Amino acid sequence: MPRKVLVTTGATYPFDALIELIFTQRVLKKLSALAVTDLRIQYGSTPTSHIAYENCVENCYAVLQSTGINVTGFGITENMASEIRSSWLVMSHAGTGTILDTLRSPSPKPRLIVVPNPVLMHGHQAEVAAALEDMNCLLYSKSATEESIVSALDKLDRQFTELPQKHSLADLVNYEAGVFGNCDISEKHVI
Amino acid sequence: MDITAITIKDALDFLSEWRCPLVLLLLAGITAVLTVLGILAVLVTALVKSYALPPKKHRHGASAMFVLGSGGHTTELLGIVSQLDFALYPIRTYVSFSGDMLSTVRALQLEKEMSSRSSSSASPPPSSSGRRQGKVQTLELPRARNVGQSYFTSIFTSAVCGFECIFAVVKVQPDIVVCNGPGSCVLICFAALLLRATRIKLTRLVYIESFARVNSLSLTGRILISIVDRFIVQWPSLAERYKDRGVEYFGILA
Repeated sequence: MPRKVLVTTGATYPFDALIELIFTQRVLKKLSALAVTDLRIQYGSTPTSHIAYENCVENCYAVLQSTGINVTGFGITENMASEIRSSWLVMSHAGTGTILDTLRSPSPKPRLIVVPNPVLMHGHQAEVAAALEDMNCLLYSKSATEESIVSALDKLDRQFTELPQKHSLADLVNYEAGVFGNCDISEKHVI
Repeated sequence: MDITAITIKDALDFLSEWRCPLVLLLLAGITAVLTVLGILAVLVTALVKSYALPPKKHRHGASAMFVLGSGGHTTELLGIVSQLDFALYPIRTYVSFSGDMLSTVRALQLEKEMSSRSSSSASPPPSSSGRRQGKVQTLELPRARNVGQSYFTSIFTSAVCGFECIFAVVKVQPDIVVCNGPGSCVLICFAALLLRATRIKLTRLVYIESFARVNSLSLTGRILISIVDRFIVQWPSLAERYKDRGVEYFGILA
């Protein structure tokens, strides 16, 4: 059975460091040991990221040949949901959108490793990933380094917790707006 | 000695002197200031009192205004909007800000999905009597500050944005405003406070802090926390930290 790994850098900020990390001997060997057959790279819309991706593939040609991992890449896509659904593992930047899309995708859910973009580290972006790791929903690689990523890949066999169901705010909004479902129905019966 | 007589005589003398116009001007000025302060006091009292009132019942459906931030904010808010029964909100207004074309498109996409969903599930025919006339509209308001704009010119663009927000809110007169940031929704909320203070409409304000906020409130959140009727966060750590400010937590909403 094919085993696909999706690497996503997000659409807003370039994250070439993540692509370069994936295309290191150590990480590729590790992925190969995990029986990964396909590597799908979303490298972002900036031309430099495209070049970075092409260079990585070229430099790792020998390793990729020996491990037999099939690499494909794309800038951005509207069909991220289906890309995620068909993956066995998603390695993502710390964007809330991708994190939620992955954790809310239908079963069997892909595993998720989040690697924060060092450029955005001063912000609050990685807080969600860290909090969700505390809930055992995903693996959070605290730094964008080989060691950190390999140690996250070592922990993939654990049982992850499902993200809790999303709570509906409909009752609260209805109360504040002064409208009620049943009151409306009785009104319709009168008419 | 008649004190009154002397005072009146003195006053008349005084008025006939050259300083008279100045004094009159001063008196007029004081009166004007007092009037303005009085009106302000009345408005502020009315506004403060409005927070103690329960939401007004709208048996014929409510008018709702959804303020779409952009990107992730829009995703989160439309997720909440999609949980609502649109039959209860015959008037729906989606506000977005210039330069963010996608939010309007996505709002209209949701409207389309919702209408196909309700028509497939054998809903009762829309009743004409009593019910408010249904209306869905999208508004695009100018931004308070464009990316990279200088702070000096942003004073003027903010003013334009502020007036547009007031104009939009006064025109739509929503029963409820639901927003989740960023920045520009603050102006909509302030405009809604004008409606409340003048009792034109007791618009209720609901703010939902982003899922991305785990440990600290956003700047928008810190401004709106003392203004809105309901302030909802999505992480227990935030709820714990701001529990004295009436923050509510139900779980993840995204």
